[in-house]
Amino acid sequence: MKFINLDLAWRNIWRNKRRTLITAASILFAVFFALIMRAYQLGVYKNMTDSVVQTYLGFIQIHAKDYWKEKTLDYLFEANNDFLRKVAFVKNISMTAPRFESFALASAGLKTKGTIVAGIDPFKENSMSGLSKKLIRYKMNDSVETELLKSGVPKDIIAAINESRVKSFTSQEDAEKKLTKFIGKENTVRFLKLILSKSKINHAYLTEHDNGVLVGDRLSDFLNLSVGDSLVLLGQGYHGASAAGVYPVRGIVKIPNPELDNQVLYMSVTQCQKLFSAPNMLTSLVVNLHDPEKLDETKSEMKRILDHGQYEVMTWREMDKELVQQIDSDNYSGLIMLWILYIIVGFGVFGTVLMMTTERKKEFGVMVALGMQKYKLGYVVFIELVILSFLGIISGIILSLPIIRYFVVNPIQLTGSMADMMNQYGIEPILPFAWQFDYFLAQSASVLVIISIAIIYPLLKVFNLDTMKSLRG
Amino acid sequence: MTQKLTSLLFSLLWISGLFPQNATEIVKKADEKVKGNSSIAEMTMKVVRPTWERTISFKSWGKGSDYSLALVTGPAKEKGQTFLKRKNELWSWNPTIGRMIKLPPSMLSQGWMGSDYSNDDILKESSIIVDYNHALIGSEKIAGKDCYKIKLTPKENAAVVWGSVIKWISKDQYFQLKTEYFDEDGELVRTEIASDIKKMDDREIPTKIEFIPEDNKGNKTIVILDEVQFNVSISDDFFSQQNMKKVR
Repeated sequence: MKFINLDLAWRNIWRNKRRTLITAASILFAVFFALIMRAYQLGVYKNMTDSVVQTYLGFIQIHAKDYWKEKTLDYLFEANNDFLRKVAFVKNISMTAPRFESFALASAGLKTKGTIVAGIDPFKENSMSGLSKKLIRYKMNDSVETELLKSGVPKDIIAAINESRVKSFTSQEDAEKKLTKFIGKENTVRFLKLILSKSKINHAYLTEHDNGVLVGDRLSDFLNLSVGDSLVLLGQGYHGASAAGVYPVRGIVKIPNPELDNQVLYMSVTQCQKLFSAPNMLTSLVVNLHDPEKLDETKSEMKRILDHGQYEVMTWREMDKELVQQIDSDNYSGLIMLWILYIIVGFGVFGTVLMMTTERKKEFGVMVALGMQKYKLGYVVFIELVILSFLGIISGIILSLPIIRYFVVNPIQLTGSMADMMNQYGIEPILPFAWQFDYFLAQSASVLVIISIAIIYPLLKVFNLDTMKSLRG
Repeated sequence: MTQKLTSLLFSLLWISGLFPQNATEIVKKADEKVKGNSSIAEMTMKVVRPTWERTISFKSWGKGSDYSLALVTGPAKEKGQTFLKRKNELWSWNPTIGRMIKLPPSMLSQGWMGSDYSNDDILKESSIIVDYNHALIGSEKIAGKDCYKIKLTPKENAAVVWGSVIKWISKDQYFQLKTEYFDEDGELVRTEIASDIKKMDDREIPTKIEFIPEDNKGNKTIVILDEVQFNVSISDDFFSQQNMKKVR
């Protein structure tokens, strides 16, 4: 019996090609737009998460109990062999990085400022956040500008660079890009080499137990520090000990977030521990994972292995509630957009189905008059629409695949102030598309639901068919 | 007639001997007991917290109420830091970083070197005689000794960190056995208890003082006077920035 119905349905569909194609097309577009929108949204969230979480926060962090709430030096833990051995047990962990963070007054010459002192393992931190790439290699200050003027660079160009306040560059490409924005491509081509040669500064990244510091760009401006100068740090250490020391500046780093750029300086973890009189202690251990999807399971595993009373294990969601809320609210507004899309498209599908049903009123009347039971007729119509839906959905998916794939591999690069803002949050300024199986399924299922709702109308029409009226109609 | 006069005179003298001295005089006597014109002292300060303890030893020179110098002699990490008070200026010197830092008056109430013993205390910035008005408000027993209970309220324009102070001064030897410090809202902020009365140099004084902050039970700071010499001659030049860097 089924095969006959299927056959009937198939033939019905192809009897009127135009009608079929219109209906299938409306379904196709629904699926197509839904997929593209969702791919974009999910890609952006993943980018936000990866940028902030992987490069700075880490997926999971281990602290001494209550550290995150209090954030003082009273809550430190010892990174002894026992602890490290236990942590090594967890398989999903791809990398760990130790951190010792506290506050101190930094002073150079007559200027003083409160700063965040971040003790890091230079190599591990670099593999996480690419800190060494943020080292400034070219910096323009007053003496550099005077030299450039002397060498024939016109005054207005120097003035333009001054106005822009962008006077530090991390590489030649960075300099080229930024200068082009402020003085135009022609001038950049003419003067780039000269500017670079005069503004070159020493720079070096931290070595493992380095007794030097890396200073944020804005902070170095405020304290008037150049590479090689000495910086004095003064503060309170562990258990009330005094923290005091003099440190040479090894390099200046450009931190995207302007507030941090104005406040932070980096030191090797061992020197930091020495400064604050807390040998072998850490404020946090940052943990990155092979498989971020298994976040909560990995956290539970770590909690089981480590002693509850002494440590706390937190995921990035617990640590940066702001980011979670941001992503969630964006996600929900994205879903709302999606649902609006569905409703619009749903009406489109409904429209074509309505048209199709009304058009075939006479045909249905004839079938029923000839003896076809209404429910069988309804069944055939139902199968027709199901076949149409599948046609539409599959072709929608196929059509969207190349476009999505293209943007996954070549994400849209953001520029201008939008890019700056994203950089400030430490997020790479790109709009990538997500390449996951789950949303393909989800979107197709949602479209199917809409179609089922739309199908109700024609089915009702069939069941309530007034044979006489439709024959005459 | 003369007999009547003499007996009247004697009774008057006797009665005046019975009258309690006024509060300011009591405080003056108590202050002189611990200060003298000048002093050199060696002290140990123990900072006690629920999870840790720290001991700092230091040497302190004082001349009148205008000059005071403190040198940290232990532990090794803190050694060499000096603190100077000259009239109204407070300075601190840190040899590790080679920096002379001026302490703003706003820092007076903060703990010295992370303890409950404030910067005001170590440098004796405020004087309990000159900066306060005194009133005798009663009599109580502290640690078995009869004491005058005196309320001190700061004078206008005095560089004082407290809203008011209550002192229990022993009647027989004028020891400041107990002190309670209140802020401007009248809330108890700190309690000071003196004990271990010993003979130091030419007098007997309490050698152990405990500072107990009100808001942090389990925290306290104990200052022990190891050795002291009173009325030594120290020149005013001793209390200088140059000397801060040299003194041993």
